[in-house]
Amino acid sequence: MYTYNDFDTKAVRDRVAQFRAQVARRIDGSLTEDEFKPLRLMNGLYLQLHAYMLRVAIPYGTLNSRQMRQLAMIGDRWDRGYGHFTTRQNIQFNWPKLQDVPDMLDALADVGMHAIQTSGNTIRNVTADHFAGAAADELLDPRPVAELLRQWSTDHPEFQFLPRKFKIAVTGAPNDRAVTKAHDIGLRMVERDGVTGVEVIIGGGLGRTPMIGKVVRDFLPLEDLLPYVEAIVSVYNILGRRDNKYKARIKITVHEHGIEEMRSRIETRFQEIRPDFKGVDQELLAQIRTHFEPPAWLSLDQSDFDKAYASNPVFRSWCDTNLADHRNPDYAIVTVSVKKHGAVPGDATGDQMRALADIAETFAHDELRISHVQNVILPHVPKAHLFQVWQALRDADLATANIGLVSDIIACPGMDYCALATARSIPVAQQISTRFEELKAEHDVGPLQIKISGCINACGHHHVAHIGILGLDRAGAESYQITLGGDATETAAVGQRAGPGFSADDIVPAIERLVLGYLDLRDDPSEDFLTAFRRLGPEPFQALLYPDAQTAA
Amino acid sequence: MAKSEHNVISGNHLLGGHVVYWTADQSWSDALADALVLAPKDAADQLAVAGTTQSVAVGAEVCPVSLDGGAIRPITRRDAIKLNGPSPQVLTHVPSFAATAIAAE
Repeated sequence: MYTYNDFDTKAVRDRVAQFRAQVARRIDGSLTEDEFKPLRLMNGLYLQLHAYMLRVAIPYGTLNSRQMRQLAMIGDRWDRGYGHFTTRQNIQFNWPKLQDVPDMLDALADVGMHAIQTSGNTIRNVTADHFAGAAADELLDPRPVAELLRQWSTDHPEFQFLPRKFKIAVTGAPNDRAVTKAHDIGLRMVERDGVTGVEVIIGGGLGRTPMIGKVVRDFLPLEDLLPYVEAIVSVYNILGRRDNKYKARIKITVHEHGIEEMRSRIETRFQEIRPDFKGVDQELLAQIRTHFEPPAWLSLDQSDFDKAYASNPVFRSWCDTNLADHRNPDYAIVTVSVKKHGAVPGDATGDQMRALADIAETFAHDELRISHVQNVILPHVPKAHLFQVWQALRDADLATANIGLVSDIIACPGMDYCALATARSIPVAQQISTRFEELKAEHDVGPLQIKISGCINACGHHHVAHIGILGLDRAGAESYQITLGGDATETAAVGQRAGPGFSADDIVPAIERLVLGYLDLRDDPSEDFLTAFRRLGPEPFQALLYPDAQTAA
Repeated sequence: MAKSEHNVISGNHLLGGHVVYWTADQSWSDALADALVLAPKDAADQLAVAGTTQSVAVGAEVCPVSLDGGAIRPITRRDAIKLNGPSPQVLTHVPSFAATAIAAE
């Protein structure tokens, strides 16, 4: 993985020193709150409902054990003993005190991390496929490109005051695990005539106006990537609306101007700036690639794994649910569920983070990933080590076998933390996962993505969930709207609203009716929820949600 | 413009970020019981005054409340969460909250 050079180290240390002085000036009254607020946001520091919140960037979700241990230490020392993994592959600390934040940032800098551009109208943390460099279906590791974009976009002087925040995702595999079509820019590695290039998608996004991104270039040579991305952001910077923050994202720019005009403007700008890119970016990319060489693969005797798999049904269930195919057949990709039934999606205690660091260091080539689904990935685990990994995860209360199932829910922090939220998200997720654990039904139900947002900003990705839940405020009471048929993958789709909202007391029984009812609607157990929805349309699912309306009709 | 018959002003402490309430002596208190209860017509003026004390607290906003036998109670779920902290089940894994969370359940 990428290791900071002297320049990176100095840039991050300088930034911490600068922010330390800004905090001191705020506390001594030299800076007003209006002056300070944009400065703290540029360093990832928000003010939430009951406390500050520090959002730390985890570039393309990649961590080593040393960094994970440091996150645990920061949580224990300056927060309340836990951190929250987010849908942008970041981590948030929910209870820092203002005067401690510079020390927290220095502690991050100690391990090559920071909180720069985790807020504000800038290019945010670039996300990538959490199986990058490990997946069996991968064409090209997307992380070097993501790292190049990180370096280019960090403190880029032209792009510090964009019309609105700007999010980029990269995947190197045809199976899109990075939700590229719901990003301002989505980059997908594709192959043409034996050459790898990039499909460039723009104008995707969630929020109050969900849009699926449109292809602006179906095949871009890799060496043109940086100038082309710069051309896109440059055009958006000029054309994007600044008169209305709800119409400021590039998805609205694309919608209002049309993809043809956008393409024309982008291509023109690209032709203008392309000559300025004289190959330094390609030299840098080549240098970055050396940081992402695969580990020295081990070839180990797997008989212990085979025996444990055959004899231990709990281990077998975990393997069947939480493992994915690795590019090396002697290895597996382990997804560690941070979604124990009834627990808070994405919350990990300091002890759990240290356990994950130990496991990664001992058994898995010292690599960890955070997924946008709010789980932790061990990307390179020799199959020979899987039983020991599972035992260690079980000891840390991290061995829940539910990846991709009903209880593997994305939930934004919602009204329990967020000042913008209009309803709670986390308790709904907890109740759903607890209920389906009681029913012992989720393995029978099979692949199903439930995603919950506590307001229209859609941080919980509800629009692209098979079952989306949006929490709203209706005359002072929480009301939960359900959407059906959303899809976050390469066949991306925005879910359709099912009907009237449900109260906080009624939402979990409604989800139970919907999911258990699907079991009777599917053709056979191999037809997953989304496939059944696409075959049948919304009506039979609406009948499950609103049985009284059907009776009345 | 405040719509409720009774209102208080809440903010966040500049250093700690924790919730504080605007009081009759034009200062901030950690306790809702100390809050100055305002009629709708007075809320905007007091909010403006509270907004001038940003060396102590920030993010001042008007919160509707009810008076229950003299006790001030938040009306909305959001203000109740702001006063009491996240829902108890959300913090059962947090050592510093676990005891109160279990007691609250």
